[in-house]
Amino acid sequence: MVFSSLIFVFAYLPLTLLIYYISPLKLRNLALFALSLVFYGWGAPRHILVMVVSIVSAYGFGFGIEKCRDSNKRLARLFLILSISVNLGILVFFKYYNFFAGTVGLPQIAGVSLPIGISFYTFQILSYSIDLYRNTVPLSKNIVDFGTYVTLFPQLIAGPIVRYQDIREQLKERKESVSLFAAGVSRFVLGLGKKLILADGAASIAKSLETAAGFEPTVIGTWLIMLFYSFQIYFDFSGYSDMAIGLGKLFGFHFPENFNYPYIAKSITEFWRRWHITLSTWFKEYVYIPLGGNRAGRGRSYFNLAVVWFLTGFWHGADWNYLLWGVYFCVFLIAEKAFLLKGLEKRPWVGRLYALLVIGFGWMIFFHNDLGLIWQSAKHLFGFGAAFADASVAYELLRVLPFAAVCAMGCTPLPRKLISRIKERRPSMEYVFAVATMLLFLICVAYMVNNSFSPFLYFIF
Amino acid sequence: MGFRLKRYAEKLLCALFCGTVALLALLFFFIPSSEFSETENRALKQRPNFSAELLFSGEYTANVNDYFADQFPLRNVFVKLKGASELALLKRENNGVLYGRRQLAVKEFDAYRSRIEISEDTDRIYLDSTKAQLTALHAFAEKVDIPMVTILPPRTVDVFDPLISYDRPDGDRLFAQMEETLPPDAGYVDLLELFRGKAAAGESVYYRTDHHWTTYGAYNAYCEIMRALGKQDEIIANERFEIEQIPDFSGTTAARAGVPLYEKDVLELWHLPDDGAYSVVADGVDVGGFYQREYLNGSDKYAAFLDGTHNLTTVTLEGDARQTLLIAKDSFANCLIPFLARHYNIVAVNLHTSTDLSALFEVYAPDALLVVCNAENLITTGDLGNLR
Repeated sequence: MVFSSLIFVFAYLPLTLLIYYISPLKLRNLALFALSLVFYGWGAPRHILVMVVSIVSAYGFGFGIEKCRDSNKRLARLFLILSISVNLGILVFFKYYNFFAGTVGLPQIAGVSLPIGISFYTFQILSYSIDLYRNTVPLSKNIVDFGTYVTLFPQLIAGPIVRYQDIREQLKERKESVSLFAAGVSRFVLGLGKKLILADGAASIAKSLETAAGFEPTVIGTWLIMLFYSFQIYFDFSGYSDMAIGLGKLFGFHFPENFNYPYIAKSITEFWRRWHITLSTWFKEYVYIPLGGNRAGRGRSYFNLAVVWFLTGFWHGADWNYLLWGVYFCVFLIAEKAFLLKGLEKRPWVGRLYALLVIGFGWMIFFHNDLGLIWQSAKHLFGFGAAFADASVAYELLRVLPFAAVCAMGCTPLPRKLISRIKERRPSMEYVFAVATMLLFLICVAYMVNNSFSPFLYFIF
Repeated sequence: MGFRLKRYAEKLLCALFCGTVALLALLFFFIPSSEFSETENRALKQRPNFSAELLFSGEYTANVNDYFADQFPLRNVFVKLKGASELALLKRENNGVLYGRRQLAVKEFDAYRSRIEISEDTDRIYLDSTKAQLTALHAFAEKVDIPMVTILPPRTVDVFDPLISYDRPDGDRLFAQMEETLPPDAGYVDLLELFRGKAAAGESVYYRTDHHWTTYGAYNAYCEIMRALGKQDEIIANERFEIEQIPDFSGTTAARAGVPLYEKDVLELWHLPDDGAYSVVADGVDVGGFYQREYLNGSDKYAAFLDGTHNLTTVTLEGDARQTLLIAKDSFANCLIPFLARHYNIVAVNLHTSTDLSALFEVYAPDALLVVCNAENLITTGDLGNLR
């Protein structure tokens, strides 16, 4: 089930809220666990089984890790390795087996479909096992609480990746309130709007630009495609995170933030501190630092970065272009680390422009799984093999400019700053914003009712 | 003060949100499903059947999603709200409908039909299969040695192209591609330039609020077909018709556009004085003539031509023996057939359903073959392949 669907907003969500709030405190996690499984199984009930295996194995091995951690380090490590192997094994099988098999010429297995959100929840589970081994979190004795942590429907399919340590206390004790609920509603509606109005709008423009480029590629057209890819993926992904964080609040949870205006970054280094923050944090915590981080000399730290970015690229999908995408960012990150960063920080506007161009072209790699096509787009951007513009691109340009301006504004902190300033000066505006939120909600409902194009990007993740 | 205000506003937001969700959800569950949308002119999805098999294949849940969207309370209001929102974002399009150049003068807002998405692959696939299918059709015609004529009515957006203030060459490219792939002996008659010229001269050849051509547009196609069949001397001059005008026609394009800011169209019924008594039989039922007036009061006014779309429609005239014209057609032919029926007995088969052509050739022994397939159907569906 996706958040931006009528069935979620008008059937699943109200029923879940109702059952949750009429359940006695002690049973609320159980209710969430069961309802989250329904959410997950909607569309592909078979995958519930995969998830249950993951949960039970990590939960069970947890006891082994806890028991042996102080007495028999080796055995504890064995349990950790077992837990990681089972969970990573499932992920690798479903996500990467056919890709590897296809690459090296082994027989592929037909009919393997990727359980949705598997990359997200597997990483959550791994964080628990590893932290338990490191003795930074206590053992989860209650399988309902642990199951709730893994399956919690708001963050299940597209993040944020919540580490067990971030949420452990909230699983035991959390306080739902009107204030939090209202904040959750605003945040959810904001995310819904980002997804349905901006991301889907940008996606359909990108698609029609591609159609036009299929007839006749143009320089302007290619730049526009790059621009709208950038809008599409940002509003889609950050919209999902907003919805997840907002939904969490409805049930009293505080999830970590996942996006912090990534397109205003002055360097690629900064971009990755602002984009999909929980994923970068995960890789830093569980791969980069254990490998030695940047404490073991320059050469070693570049190697560590390369490992992280190889994995980051691959995490996004089992195909060459995702790998290339990871390596592509790695090159810029190492260059920045080596010499570029100081200069960029002194000239913020140069830095912003540079970052936007690198990120934008990154999305061209991300969206095209054909290396030839990526190379062709690169040439078209700079006028090789493409006319500068044609009539149909002129038409597109004209009609998309106002929408692009709205999107561009939405990528900056300006709207939020403006709103909080207005609220400070005129407290009575709170009412106006409450009504405006509802209006935005109704518009979102209209987009769900009359939906012509709403791609779901996370099937591959 | 500010703090308390904030508290009230928070309560207000929670109440409004929960209230709206609950209200719409309850309305959905308690309002009985409707079968048909008058404004959108299509059947609506009904409550899907449940079975474990459907559930596990994911089909059930997909059906539930569609059912929800189609039966959602206040659907028409929401469709309009979305149209208004897209208009406000100045995107000049909604659901594939282009807003014409006069959109800013609100009353003269034009709605043009769908600029369809042609992905490179599918468009190649359908065009290539089109070639094979038309070649196969021609083989039928050749075997019994009868002439074949093919017309591909353009999309509205192609016809109105010069009138849209921004130039869009996609239509030209599409037609160039189609003509390239057509087999040379399919008897293709190009209508694009003719219609464009007429549209540019201000003549109403296509509706603005519907994806079909007007009766006048169909008359022009009729003249071209008659010329192609070598019967130019028999063409009935348009002055001889008495034209009945039906106002307030708002068709499929308008329903898709969502915003009710357009002028409605006029639908015309062309009558010939001293006309013969034609017997029009649609799927075995005598529908009583070319025009079914009961549809003129509803929203689906275009169905007044030949009782709408049927799998097999025949038109015959008592008296002298006449030649028979076999037409493989989509709905564009519905308002064209009355003109042709003045010269031929008509056997019209719908492209949407699969038909055994050799049986038809045997039963009706046609004297000529006409293919009428709208350019959009041609490239977005494999309908031509339904004829075997």
